[in-house]
Amino acid sequence: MVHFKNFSFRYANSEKLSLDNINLTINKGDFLLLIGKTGSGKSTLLKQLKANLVVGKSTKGTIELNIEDENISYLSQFVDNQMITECARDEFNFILENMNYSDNQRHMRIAEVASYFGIIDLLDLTENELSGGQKQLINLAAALITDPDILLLDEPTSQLDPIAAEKLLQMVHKINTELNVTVILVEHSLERNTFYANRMAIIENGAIILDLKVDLALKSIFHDNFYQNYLSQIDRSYLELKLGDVTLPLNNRQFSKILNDNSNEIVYKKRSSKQISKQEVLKIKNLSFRFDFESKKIIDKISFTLNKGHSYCLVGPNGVGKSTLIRVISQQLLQRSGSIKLDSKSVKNNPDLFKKIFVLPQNPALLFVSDTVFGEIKFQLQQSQTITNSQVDEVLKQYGILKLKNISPYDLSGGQQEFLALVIGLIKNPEILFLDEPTKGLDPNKILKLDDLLNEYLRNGGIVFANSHDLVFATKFDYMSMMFDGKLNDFQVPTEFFKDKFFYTTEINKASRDSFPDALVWNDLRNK
Amino acid sequence: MKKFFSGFQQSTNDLSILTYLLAIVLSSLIFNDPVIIVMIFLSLLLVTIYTKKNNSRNYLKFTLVIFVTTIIFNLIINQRGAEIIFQLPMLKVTTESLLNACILAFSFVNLLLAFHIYDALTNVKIIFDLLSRNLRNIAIIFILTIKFIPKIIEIFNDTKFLYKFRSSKKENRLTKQLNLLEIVLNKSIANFMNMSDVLTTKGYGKKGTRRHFKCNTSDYLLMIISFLTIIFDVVMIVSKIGKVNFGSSNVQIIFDKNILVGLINVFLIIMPILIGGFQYLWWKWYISKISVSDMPTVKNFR
Repeated sequence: MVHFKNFSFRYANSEKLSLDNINLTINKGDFLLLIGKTGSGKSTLLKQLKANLVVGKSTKGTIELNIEDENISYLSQFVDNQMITECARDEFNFILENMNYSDNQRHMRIAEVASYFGIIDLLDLTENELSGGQKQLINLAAALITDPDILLLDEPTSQLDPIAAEKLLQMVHKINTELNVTVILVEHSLERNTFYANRMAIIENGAIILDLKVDLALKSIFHDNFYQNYLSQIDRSYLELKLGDVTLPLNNRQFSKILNDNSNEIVYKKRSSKQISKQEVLKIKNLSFRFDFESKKIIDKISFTLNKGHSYCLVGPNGVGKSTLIRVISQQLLQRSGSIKLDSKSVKNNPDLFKKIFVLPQNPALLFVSDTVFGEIKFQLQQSQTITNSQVDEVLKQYGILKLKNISPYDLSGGQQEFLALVIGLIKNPEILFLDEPTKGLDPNKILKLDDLLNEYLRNGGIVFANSHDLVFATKFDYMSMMFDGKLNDFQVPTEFFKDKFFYTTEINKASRDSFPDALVWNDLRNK
Repeated sequence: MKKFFSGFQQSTNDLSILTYLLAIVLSSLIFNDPVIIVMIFLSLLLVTIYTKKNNSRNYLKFTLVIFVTTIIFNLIINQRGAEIIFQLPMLKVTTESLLNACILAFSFVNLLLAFHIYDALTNVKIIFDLLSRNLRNIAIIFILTIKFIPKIIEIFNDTKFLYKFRSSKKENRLTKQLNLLEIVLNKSIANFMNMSDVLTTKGYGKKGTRRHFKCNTSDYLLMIISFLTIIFDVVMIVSKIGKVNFGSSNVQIIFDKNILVGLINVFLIIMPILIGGFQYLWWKWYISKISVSDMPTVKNFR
């Protein structure tokens, strides 16, 4: 169906090849999972099949594509601003009218799609009335309304909470198996996705370095120190514990049985507990916020304290107010009641607030002020000292982003933008780092790097307060809490937090709760 | 009112609503006779309440501020007239200057209310559809503007706030503002490119079909009345009925043919209430009685 033959590609604004000698064949009905590190060329490869989405030229080779452009649909990682019109019904009509469907055909097609996706009740809601998961489901339905042969998915779950992400992937799987639509899914992690794909490929520096059936691919990457971090927690644990040679991926039920059968050979490695610091830096008391007088409280009498040298993570579904809480604490939105004290001083009209904290927003591009990555780092370093260009280069090298120095921050991939914004925050070295979905778009190795950087920052007395959908990442924090209905549970250490969670917990915890109830991630379980 | 509005929405299509909106915007624009504009104001206010949206209260507050500001501003710049109501140093308020101020304020407010009704009744898609029939390039500019103006404002506000976390140096206010504008422009271009991708993926640019509207009696009624009122209003204006010598010292309130002009425009403006009311009563007293059903919902409704 699609055949990349020695294909190379370069963006119009770049001298470097983004795709280098690609050879890849995709057959009808395939579900290809394409992974690679941040900026490796995953999205670029995907967009080649929708030619109008890339500005650049092919320098070598060809793409043999025996279907029309209108039979290929694309779904981006961005959940917001994907609707041109006001509601899903208008959006579907807009697409079908562009594709020359008659009145009768449009009516039938919308009825079909709305029923299939279970979105009849959402058809007339505006973008503001939809949750992140609902928006992405509508975006997926819009991509499929013209009955395409190929569905291109570019990290479609990166902005969704785990439960919404699972629902979306199940829907994609249903489309693949029931309708025989070819799916190419670009992802930066293998958690959840491997169950649905029949093939897996890895792209590195613009070249395909692996293309195998899922089972073989998973077993193969386990022997690669770099890509083994991409494995799902369950598969990684199974392979690390050397428990046999069953077909991968394993589901929780299978892994649970294997653990029970081998429980004598495995031990739970207790996590080291951190000494509790009593030095209060931020104290929040009875904080409440609502957007309008008539609307319900999105933050409802929340109280907590952040202590020096500790990290705190908030989890919870999309739209419960996690980001709003950060915006209220940082005074982008003003609280309706309650107090926020930073170093015993109210944050209201307190200019020190901006010096002492740093906020990484959901959209990291909002932080950028310069034309190049070099300029961004230089600007931040200049805030505290006089700096030379070679010193800036040293800092870029230290964070592993020297290769990106002359690139515009807006031309970076989503993950690279996220990492750059984090580096800017760490250079500022504030008392508190507020991070809104810091792992969004980052590949597993970049997440490990981020974890190291944050640990170093914490050792120097910093505080990290993050919102995250990534439950594995959340287990690395000192304290966790869940937000729902404007309320916050007490902050607990991760093992305590996940102990009584049934649905909202890590896959390892779900699978091992009978034999090792405190295990949360793959390296909590070891061979005796 | 909610049921009336629901009846109106269910019995009219986007095309007839658009014709109606065109007619009411024209009505609020072309007259300045004090009697007519007050009549138009009252009927527009009624329809604004009828088509109530979530942000109506804030919009009405904003309208009130515009009304008061316009009156004060006009009283200061136009102090003509002989019948003095009161006098302060540098300010002479006369019957004529107050009337002029009120005419201008009501005209502004009428226009604001007409656009509020437009906002409540129409949607982006319908305007886009109509424009894209012959003016495809303008249609695309329209849709991008509709999406981008709020987006750019949002980017500006967010960037301005987040910049405080990055910059700790004191900067000249003007330099800072110029830097900020440049940063926002860069970010907006990046966003614009994303929107262009969205349009491409949705098939924009292909030779698509035109949408056909199916009209029923309410649509024809609304369109005919709207067209007739537009013609009537234009004829009246050409005949210099409904216009006063605004800004002069001889402006006054007169009850004459203007009452008829006002009534016809009131009739047009409250058409959504009349259509919605008729639809509701027709359902309540006739259709729900002849549709025999023991379903609890039907019984409850009766």
